[in-house]
Amino acid sequence: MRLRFSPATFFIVLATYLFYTGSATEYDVVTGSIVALVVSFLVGHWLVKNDLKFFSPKRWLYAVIYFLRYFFIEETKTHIDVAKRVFTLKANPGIVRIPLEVENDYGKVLVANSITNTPGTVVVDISDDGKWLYVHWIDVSTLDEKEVKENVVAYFEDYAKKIFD
Amino acid sequence: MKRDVIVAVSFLLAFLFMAYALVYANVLGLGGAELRPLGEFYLSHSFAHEGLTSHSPEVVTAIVWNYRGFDTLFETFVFFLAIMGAFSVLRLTDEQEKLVKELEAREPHRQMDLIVRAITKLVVIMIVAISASIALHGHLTPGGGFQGGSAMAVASLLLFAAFSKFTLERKGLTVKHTVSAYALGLALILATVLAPVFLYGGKVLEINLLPGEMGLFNLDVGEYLAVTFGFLTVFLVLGVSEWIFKTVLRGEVND
Repeated sequence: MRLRFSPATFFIVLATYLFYTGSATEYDVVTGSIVALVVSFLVGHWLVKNDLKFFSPKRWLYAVIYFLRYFFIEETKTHIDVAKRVFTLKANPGIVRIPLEVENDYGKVLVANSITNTPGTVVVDISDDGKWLYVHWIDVSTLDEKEVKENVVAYFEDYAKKIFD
Repeated sequence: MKRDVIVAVSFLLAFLFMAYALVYANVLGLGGAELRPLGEFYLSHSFAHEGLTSHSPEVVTAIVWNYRGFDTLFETFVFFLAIMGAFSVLRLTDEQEKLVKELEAREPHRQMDLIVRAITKLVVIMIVAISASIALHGHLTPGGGFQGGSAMAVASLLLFAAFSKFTLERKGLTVKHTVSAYALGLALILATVLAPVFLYGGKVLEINLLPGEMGLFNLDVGEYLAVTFGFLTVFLVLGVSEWIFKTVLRGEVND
């Protein structure tokens, strides 16, 4: 068992501990820090591989921008689109394969979960090497790889690269 | 399909009827009842500074330790007996364990896909933090060692499901380690329970003799360790596939 300290894991554990406890008295901070120390020494870089990336403010800024844009603009647009389809019964469902360019595992998860969370598209599977996503799409209007990617992935991957790669 | 709808609707109606009967028709006589003398006694005496008290500012914990301390203590030992029972029924000699390792290494190991694994990592770390919070605030808020340990058991089950038992064992989490940690937790509980006898000349479980809230804190931490690693031990022992286990037990391993 390798024992290596990871500040990012320490931060995550301490933040979760204090958030769940709901108070930050001396006792909470001391016990939380001890727990976080033990966990981050035991786990090492299993959760966060690169601590510098985790503490980079630029990446956090991109994440905030991404989530604002995603939850307020993209979600609204696709909700309206799917709502229209429910009433007009216009659907042309099918499964498409999409190539992934983002390298980091968490980046891939961000792209996949953003696609699933968007109404109308659901990630069905990811290839074993993590380079292809299989997506169930409510409106397969094109089979051209580039156009499919533009329609389904949109800007998710650009931000995933900026946040995680 | 039709049957599902009927079942769902009848469950809903049953719950609505029960809620109506309990709340509005007051069938059991629970609503609007005055505080009974026993309840009043508990509420006014649970946070006592003198006498045989556990010094807990939280009513449930205070009642558990002030009035039912031995019950809680022996529950720990019932749990211990259950785990040791499972452990001894499914025990293997060192040679047999080596064979199990060999056979397991031959089987194909599959983990769940990348998305599940990445999310499980984060969720497991957060469950560890939350379970520690539940356990370490056992003397202040509802919750405690057993509840925290049960939450941790969920974390280890998630690891088993998303990764694999072998991933954990390769990272160094073997039955030997979990049993040692379990024993450590039990030792802490025993030490806390017996400390008043040897250090202060009191009685068993008279933890109010220990300074401050140390007694309860130790019991919480001990129970947390014991439950976490007790469950983990059982999971690891039961995680051996039945086919491998029986093959090794009957000594039918050729080549």
